[in-house]
Amino acid sequence: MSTWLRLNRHKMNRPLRRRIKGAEVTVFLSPYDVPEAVRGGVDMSTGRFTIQFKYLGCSEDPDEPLDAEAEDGPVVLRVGRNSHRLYRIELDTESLGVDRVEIRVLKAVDDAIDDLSKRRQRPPNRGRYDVTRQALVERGHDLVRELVGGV
Amino acid sequence: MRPNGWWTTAFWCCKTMQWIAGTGLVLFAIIQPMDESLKNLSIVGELIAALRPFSRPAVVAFGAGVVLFKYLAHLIGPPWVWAAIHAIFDEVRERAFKYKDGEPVHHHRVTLFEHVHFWRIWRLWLCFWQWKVGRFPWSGWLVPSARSGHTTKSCSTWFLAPDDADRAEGVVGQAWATNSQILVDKLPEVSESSSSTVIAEYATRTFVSQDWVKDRLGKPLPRSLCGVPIEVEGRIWGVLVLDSRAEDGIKSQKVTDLVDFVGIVLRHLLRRAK
Repeated sequence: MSTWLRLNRHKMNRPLRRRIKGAEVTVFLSPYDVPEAVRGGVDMSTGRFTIQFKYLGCSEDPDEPLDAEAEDGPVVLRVGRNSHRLYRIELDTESLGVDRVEIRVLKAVDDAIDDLSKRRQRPPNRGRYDVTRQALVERGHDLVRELVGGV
Repeated sequence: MRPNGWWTTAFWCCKTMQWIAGTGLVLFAIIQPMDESLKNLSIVGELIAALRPFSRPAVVAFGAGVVLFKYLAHLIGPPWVWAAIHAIFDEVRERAFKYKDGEPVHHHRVTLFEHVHFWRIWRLWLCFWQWKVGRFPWSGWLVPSARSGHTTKSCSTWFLAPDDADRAEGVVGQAWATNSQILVDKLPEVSESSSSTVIAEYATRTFVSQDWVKDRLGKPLPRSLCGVPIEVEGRIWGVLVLDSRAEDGIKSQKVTDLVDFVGIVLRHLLRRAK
């Protein structure tokens, strides 16, 4: 795994003016939903290229169990059992053919996150996946460079 | 509110009783298989022989005692955790609010609300005549656990936060329901002479009923509020609320920085208090 790449939390968590029950309020994402850092690399235990997100107050490993989404597909998402937060993205580099097309990888990851955000969650919160996507946009090329270098 | 002398005493009483019950459990567990012939050995042997017939129920009773007192101590939480949380809140209060010259510090407060179910709100159980449809003790509530400063500790305001999140009350309830940080400022000043329009505006913007506001007309109400959900092990544990009597009393940019710090510390401290 590469070293953690810091993310600009303030840039990703901009205040929004929203109307809730007829009242105008300023809304920020929960501080726990905004990733602090991201890193990528081949996970020796699975042999897959893994993108990992670090959230507020968490050490290397999350403090809740993880559940796998779309475990049979080329892009496996591991989300927190309680928070539904996206902690890890595992890529099957062979079926994605990453050594040829970088864009294809980012698109596959983006589609997988999109599927995840459409599913019913509890508590409801789509913003947390948008901010994860934003993190990938911010650091995606660094991660893909790591991926191509590692394969 | 947790961090006061009574709760600290109760915690240490529970811990002492747990230790006594644990010692009793071990002693009777040792006595139970001992032979009758011990009676002839000494006074200790006679004592053991006399206690042996009660050993089986005693093991059960002391075992239950260990579990009960451990559970009660766990419910109260270690006092050092709450003392640390209190100290952090005092520091947050110093940094997160805009102070005017000579303004009393208690005009700005930091309060931690915990999301609880029926059995924790004993006062609501006792005041059963206040029960209404959807507002039962088991409906889900946000109750104050800790507050900055040394005043307004006897706060008994709790907010409905039920499974049906649309019915959540207050800014604290909305932060819990939406799992987002919510800031409301420039609220109108409400007093006993306020018109019904002002009361209605205040109620709408703070997500409470007009009756709730009318019940508190004699007391100063906050004019800016910020609610931040607090998580422990991926679950929303409660909500941190900053409130100020000034209409723009909360430094919103500063709060975002402080919330990052407080969120990390609370996550770890509350895990210890669980």
